Amino acid sequence: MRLSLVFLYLLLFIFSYTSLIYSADAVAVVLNARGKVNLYRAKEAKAQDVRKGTVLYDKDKIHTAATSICAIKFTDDKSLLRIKENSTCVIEAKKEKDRTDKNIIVEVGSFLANLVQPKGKFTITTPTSVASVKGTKWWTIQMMDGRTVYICLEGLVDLENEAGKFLLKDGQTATFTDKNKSPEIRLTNPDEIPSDEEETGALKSLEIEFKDSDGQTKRMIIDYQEQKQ
Amino acid sequence: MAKIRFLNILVIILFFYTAQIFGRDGVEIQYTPTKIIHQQDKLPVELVISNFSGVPITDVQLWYRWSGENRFKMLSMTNEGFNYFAAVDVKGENDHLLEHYFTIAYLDNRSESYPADAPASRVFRTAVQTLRNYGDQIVIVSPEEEEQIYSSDVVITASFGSLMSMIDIEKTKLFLNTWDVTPYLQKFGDFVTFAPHTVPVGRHKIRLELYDPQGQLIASREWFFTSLTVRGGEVPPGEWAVSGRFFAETRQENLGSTDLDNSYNQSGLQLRADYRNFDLGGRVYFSNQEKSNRQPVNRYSGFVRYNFLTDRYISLEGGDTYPKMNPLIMQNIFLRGVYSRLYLKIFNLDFATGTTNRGVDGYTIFNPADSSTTTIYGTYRRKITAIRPSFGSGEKFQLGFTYLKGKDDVNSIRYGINPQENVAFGSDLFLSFDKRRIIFEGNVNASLYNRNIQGGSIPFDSLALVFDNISESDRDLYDLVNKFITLNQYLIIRPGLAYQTRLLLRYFKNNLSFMYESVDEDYYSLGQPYLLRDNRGFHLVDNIALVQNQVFLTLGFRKYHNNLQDIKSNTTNIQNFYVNVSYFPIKNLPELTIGYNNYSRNNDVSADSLESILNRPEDNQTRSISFSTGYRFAVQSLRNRIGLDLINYQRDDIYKYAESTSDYLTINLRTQYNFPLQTLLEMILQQTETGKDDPSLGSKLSLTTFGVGGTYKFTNVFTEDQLSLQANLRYGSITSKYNLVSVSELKYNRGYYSFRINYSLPKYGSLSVLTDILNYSGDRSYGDFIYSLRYDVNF
Repeated sequence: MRLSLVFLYLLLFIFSYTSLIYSADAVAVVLNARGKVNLYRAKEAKAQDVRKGTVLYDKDKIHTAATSICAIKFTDDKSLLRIKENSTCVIEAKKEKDRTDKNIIVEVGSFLANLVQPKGKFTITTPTSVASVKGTKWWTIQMMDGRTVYICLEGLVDLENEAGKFLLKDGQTATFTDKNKSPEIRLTNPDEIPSDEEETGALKSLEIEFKDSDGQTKRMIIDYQEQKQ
Repeated sequence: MAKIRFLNILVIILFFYTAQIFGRDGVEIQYTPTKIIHQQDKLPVELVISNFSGVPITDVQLWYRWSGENRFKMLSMTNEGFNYFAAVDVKGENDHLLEHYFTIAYLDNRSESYPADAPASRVFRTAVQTLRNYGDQIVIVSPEEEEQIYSSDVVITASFGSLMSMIDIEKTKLFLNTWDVTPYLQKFGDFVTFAPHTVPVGRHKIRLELYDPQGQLIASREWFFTSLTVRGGEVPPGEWAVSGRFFAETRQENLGSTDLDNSYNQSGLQLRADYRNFDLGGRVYFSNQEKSNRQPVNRYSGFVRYNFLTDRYISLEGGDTYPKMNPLIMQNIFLRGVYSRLYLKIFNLDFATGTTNRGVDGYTIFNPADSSTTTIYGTYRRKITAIRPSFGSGEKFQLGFTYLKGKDDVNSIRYGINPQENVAFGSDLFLSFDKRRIIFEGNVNASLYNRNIQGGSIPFDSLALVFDNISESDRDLYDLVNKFITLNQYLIIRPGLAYQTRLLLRYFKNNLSFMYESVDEDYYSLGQPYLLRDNRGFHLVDNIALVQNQVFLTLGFRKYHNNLQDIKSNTTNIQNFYVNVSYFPIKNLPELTIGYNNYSRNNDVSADSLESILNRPEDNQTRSISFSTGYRFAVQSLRNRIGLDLINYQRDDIYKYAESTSDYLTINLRTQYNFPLQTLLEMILQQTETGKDDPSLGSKLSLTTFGVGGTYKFTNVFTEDQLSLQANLRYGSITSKYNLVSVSELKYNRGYYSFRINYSLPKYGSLSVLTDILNYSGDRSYGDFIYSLRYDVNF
């Protein structure tokens, strides 16, 4: 019976200890990660590798190395965020019933946000400004020299900093140099738009099966080299 | 922080609050019957058994039938520690009631039913309903519908934030084509995700199913995507899809009632693989309870199946199998051997051969006092071979013929008695019309049975010497019959007959079933050991679904009798009338079930023969009235379900000592908090009086039990992991009063405490620690302690 008492005390200890553990909200899933992509969980200094299927939580920090890319999707409304190479951001997400308010805090790098039917707020915060939208596709590029570039591809993007509020339309590019200064807004030069393709540069092939006029099944294989910037 | 403080208080309350509950002697069974399911293909059933009896459980079986069917079908439940699982196929059975109960077999050959009085008086019932499916509120995150995606990039993710309050995330299921990938699913509060290493090239179907806490399907959604091949820098996609499960468990039992210290170790591995049109799999299970002088406990099986054309296949199972052929010839039996099936629709062939009993030798005991010897007889190894060719797919038509031969191997043991042999032949027919609204099925079977084949057949010449009417011309017939069965004085020459026929009509919300069946006393099939022989009668039942399938009315009548060959001194007539009304509202109103059952047996022998041994009268009637209700309600953010069950059971009998009256009352409250805590409060009252008018054998039993339990789940404790803590405490007081000289009253308390800790880490599996403590005080005073350590991993 002594053994059972020890066991009981052990169980009680574990119950009491674990009841203090805090659990964060899971908000997004990594759809694609190529190259070296690191994830820092909130309050954790040690990085872990990101793979497809990795689940992201509030306050998670993602860093992509050179020739690396990562794509994540938020689970409440399918908002997509592509993170290009040499980029770092923190994902803030607050769940409210069936929607999630998202804020991507950009430290550096290039980010493509693609929102189709957003449910909660979606903002991207950079050192110089904040961009918020509903149903838009745009790039956010945070330069190492402190400048922030927004390129609107579809819809409208609301931009805001200490200098005021600004509206960016599709086909326009806004450049912020300081959080207290208004941006320079101009027409987008198509050459400035980062590539949305994955950057592994690998040889890939696409197989397509089809039937010809005689009903015979044919297979077409297209081998191609991915574009590398 | 307020939540955490609240949680701490609850956990402390769970630990220090002493409540009580009752369980049967030495065996604690936990089962939450599902009252209603919506649009599911399978009804999952889970039973938790904590066994303090000191005798290991060898098998737990689920018996089920659709209301109106006469015979229960059996499913052997899969064992995982204290938990036993099975899934009943309910596909296409909407607006129908499923009846089920359990049998638990022990190593000492004892067997019991759960509920205890099942199936005669009480069974569990589940209604299969067609209700609204909230699949449109499932958000497909990835891959999108009809998306073309590289095979190595597939991540399946879907969310359902608006359904969170209705579902139990742990019950969520995901299928990739027909492959159940649920074990690999990562489940979070409002979404699930699954990232396969790769998927085969081609078009695929995903199906997501969400269930409520009672296991009812709330929402399901299907979508398709196409997987494209990737070459060059990518790893080529493998064509083998392998999945499996492994577990290992050790359990220590310290049973104070018997001063026994038992140690149980078991381990199992299941593998399944798909390769193009092939399905392969296998299962091994090892236990330290396997002994050569017991029936098999270990299990080994493997199968391969090749699918071709449309839904056609050929399959081969080896090892431990459960063949199903004609229900009166081969069903509900464990066979160690080979079971193969060829299914071409127009022609099919089933074949099974192997052993159902292991040879376990008996022994002798020498008594030096009188120099006598007592023989304890063993069990012969029993060999079974069965074959069933059939014609038709079974969707609208099938005609089958089954032949079975069973024989005990007389050389398998030294000390045995009455080795048996049997052959059975039967044909079965299935017809359906008008989209299966009319179903006719039936079978006719005959058997030959020899109850003792020791010594083999009597030679033809010896028979010819004894019987004048046997001549040399009969030798060919003798040789022919001798190929099928042993010819000796124990052979029952008259073939036993068994048949059953059933007509099912489904019109105007009615499911009307009429079954007529007859099984001779001499009908035996060693492949179907659970037949009630010397029994003939009919069973008429109608299930009516009303008010948008919210009200189920069941009316049934059975009438059977025995003494079919008119060789007994009297005939027992059995009559059973029952009515059951269930209300399962679509809206949030209380569920309600009211039932009445009247079961009587009478053999028309006069009451004057009460003391007779050979001509005992039988005249008894058992009535039961049951009332069950449940209601789901929310208090702020807490989701609750309160349940109440009342049962009154009364038996009148010509023998006063067998008369009894019982009343049961059960109240329970389940609460799901807005953080991952689920609690249960329970109270059970029982009063039973037996032999009220018998001066010497009467007794009274009074029982009061209280229970409290809780489960808390932590996620992301260290990484993407989950920690689940569960505690259940029950405490009961039992008082028994007897009209006996030796014992007049027995009063004792019974406490049952169980604790579960489970830590799971995706890809690495889960580790569980389980502790069960049973403590008696008062006139019975002892304690049992069981603890288990278990590891599970799915891959």
